[in-house]
Amino acid sequence: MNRFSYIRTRRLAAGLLLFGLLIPGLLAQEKFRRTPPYPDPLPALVLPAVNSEYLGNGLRVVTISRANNPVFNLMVLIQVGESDSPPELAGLATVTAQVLPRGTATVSPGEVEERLALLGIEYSVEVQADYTIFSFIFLAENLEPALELISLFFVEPAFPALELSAVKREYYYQLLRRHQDPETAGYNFFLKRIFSGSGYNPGVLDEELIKNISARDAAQFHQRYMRPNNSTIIFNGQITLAEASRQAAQNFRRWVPRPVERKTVSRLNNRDFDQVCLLDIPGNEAAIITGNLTGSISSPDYFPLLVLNHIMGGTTGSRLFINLREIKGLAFYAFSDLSFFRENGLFWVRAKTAPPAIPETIAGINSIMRSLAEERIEPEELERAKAYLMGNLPLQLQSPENLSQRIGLLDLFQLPPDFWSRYLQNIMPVNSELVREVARKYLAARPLVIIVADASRALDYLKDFDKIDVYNRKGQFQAVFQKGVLRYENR
Amino acid sequence: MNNCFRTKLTLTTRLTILVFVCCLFAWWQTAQAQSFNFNPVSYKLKNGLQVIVVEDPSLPVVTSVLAYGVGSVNDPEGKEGLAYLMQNLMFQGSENIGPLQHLNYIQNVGGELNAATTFDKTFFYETVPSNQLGLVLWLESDRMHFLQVSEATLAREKENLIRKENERYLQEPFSRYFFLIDQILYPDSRYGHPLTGSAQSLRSLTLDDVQKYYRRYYVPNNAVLCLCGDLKLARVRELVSRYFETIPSGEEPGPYPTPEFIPSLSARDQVMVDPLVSSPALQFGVRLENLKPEDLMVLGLMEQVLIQGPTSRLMTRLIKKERLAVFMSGGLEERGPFQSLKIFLLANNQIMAERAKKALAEELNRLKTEMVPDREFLKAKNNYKFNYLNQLTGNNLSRALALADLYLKEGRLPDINRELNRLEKLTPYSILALARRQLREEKYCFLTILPRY
Repeated sequence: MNRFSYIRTRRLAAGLLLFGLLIPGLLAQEKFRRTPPYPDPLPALVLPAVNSEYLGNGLRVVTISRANNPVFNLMVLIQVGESDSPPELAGLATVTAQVLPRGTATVSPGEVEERLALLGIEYSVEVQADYTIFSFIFLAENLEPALELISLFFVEPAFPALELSAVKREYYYQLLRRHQDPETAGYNFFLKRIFSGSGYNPGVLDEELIKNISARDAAQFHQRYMRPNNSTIIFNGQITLAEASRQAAQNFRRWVPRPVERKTVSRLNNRDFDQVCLLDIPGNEAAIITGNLTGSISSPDYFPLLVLNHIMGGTTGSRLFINLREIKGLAFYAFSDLSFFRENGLFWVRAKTAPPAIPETIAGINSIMRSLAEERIEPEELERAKAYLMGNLPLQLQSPENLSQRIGLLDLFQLPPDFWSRYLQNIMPVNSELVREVARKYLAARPLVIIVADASRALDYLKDFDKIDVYNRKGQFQAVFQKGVLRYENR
Repeated sequence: MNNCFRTKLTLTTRLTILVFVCCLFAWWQTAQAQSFNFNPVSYKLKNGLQVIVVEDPSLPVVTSVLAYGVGSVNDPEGKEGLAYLMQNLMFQGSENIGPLQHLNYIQNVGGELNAATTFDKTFFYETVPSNQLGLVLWLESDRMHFLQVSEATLAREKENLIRKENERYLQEPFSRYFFLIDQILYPDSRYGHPLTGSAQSLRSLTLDDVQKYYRRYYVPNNAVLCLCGDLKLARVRELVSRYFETIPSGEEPGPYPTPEFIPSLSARDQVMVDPLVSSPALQFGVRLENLKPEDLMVLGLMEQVLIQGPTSRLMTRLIKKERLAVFMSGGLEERGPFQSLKIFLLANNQIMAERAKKALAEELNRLKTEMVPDREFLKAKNNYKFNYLNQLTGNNLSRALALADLYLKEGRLPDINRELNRLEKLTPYSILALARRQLREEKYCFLTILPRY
């Protein structure tokens, strides 16, 4: 071997060695890309400190301490809602709440609007069946003048005639539009049917009845139900309880307490509905709403129900969506949901499809519900649902308004103060048996089925149903469809 | 010697005092920023990926925004819609992640995700429990370098986009006029074409177009990764380095294409009849150009005075007082070095639409002739300040998007105190001067859309 070839051989060997050392290194480096990484340990969910006390007039003051945030959320939560409106004036709670921030006894509507804008206050009003929420968001530096203005809405509302008319007009057109949307119309009709005969209005409004509401009705409703002793004011930001109470007392002391008597709500049981309704609304597509009653949010079934709902139809990865849309191509979408009211809860499925696919879509939904009640859920599916619920809660609490609302509603739904901070611990022990147990309890009976479609297009495809009650878009009974024959009846 | 020493000592002392003052100022600035829960840290990887981190331990969640400096302005001529199509293709799978699995991975841990394409940027964002930061970085890094697009996927996505656009037009017939006003304001295909392209341009896109585009723009040196939430910088560095460090940088994508705007006066006041619309509408737009960086805040205040909120001038006059419009929306829109002010309104009939047009022009001209009263100016400032602070401190997503956007635009992090100080110094005259410079009547574009009665 001459010197050159020796050197060459050594270089080659060195090169090969380097190559040999580097390649496995590179391959090892890329190996981590092949599979998802293991998560870091699950962090504890520590919510901001919550403190509360009552003022002399019964107003509950709650503070949620969030340090170092220039944006402040102030929320007034009143335990009154649409279920408290008289049946002949459905919508009274909504209209009253919407008019409150539109002028007071001492500040004209225009000036209120100007002052809200001057202080950079954004607000929203939400009226549900059981509660009303006024949420204000603004810069923390404006807290004092903001509170001074906001308190007037509750202490000395004026219900100006022009503003009341404007609110009624806005709602009238909004409701007309909403009732043309098949899914919204279907859900409202579903709620009405589920609670029919119970004397409880789950928050369904009627555009025709809204027209009849007068300023006097609104003023009386405010006098009777919107009192400090059934209200909570939540200060969410950098403030102490003592300071919040001082400011609340200073501004809300003129808000006079009165005994508030709300109608009692009876607990309704999950039952066999054996009813299919067709709501006749023009359109090319059909919506299906189906569901039944469950226990309330405070019942021990709540956490297994959450898991069950997620497996059934909580997201695009759940059974309804995968089965009905991705695999069978029957529906444009299919999801399930849970809604909770005082004393009651319900699960409901919503799907959108084409009229020819209505029977198969309903059969598909029923089959998924049956399998959940009868078959064992695979551990992987169960754990995935739990991981979603546990991981998603902190995301839901990110917005100050959401956090305030969840804290504020604990009292109304008779939930313990640590309900949200113990949420993860309560989801963790939910097992396959518990889920199947609630599935048997709530999914086994025949659910109420609402089909929303253009009757002239859809009925041809619905001949195989035993009987369908047909209603017009206002929810008035029209006819019975049986064995392919439409028979008009007076009820 | 003594003198010299004294001089030296004096200099040292001076220097020490100066350093001390500087440190004190820096500390004060940091303290101020921290008092807003806002302490961004940024660093760059060797491959050019800019990383911005904001620690906020208030809840165990983390948001990741990966923003690329590419948008519809980069669509080649005749290939309009490529940027938007690319955003959709990024969910169709990469070497280690199956088609649409990105969504499943995020959803399975309770997370949320989305994406958005603008004129010059494309954002991909996820919010997840903070222990899943590794998962997000794994997913994003895989599609940054190992995207897999087949002919079949491309064909399906193109047809999906075309179908969605057709549906959108049928459901919202006014949507096409939003694009039309852009074409009038920016008569240069790169600047004025619709984000979603056209059926023709989308169908002309080939796999080769997509791959070239991806290799050119979806590179670390054209991206900003912003992470906000409950995280620790050391762990972020470790994970970011693991997933992104070995991705090679690409060619520098280069600056925006320079537009050539050919004025088209005949297009500036058009009336169109559309059988699909149910009520008359008016689209207004004006292009604002030759803007200095300091003009942007003044423009924001002008927007507040004119159109933002129920007590703004146009809302008060057109909706409440004169009832010329039943609905109105609008505001500023940025397009590279330009801004445009756009307003859209619905009227009950053609006469009202005509009157609304006149009133709108009058209100714009009033900004040039009258000083905004102090109270109105204060209102605009308060609202601007609220929006600015809420964006940067409100939640992780809004903060991360704002930071990534600013970094891609100006290569810097925001300085809250400096911005607020600048805001404080502005006066009503700032609006008057800018309005006189920018709001020129000959540049106003009106588009009246009438139903077929």
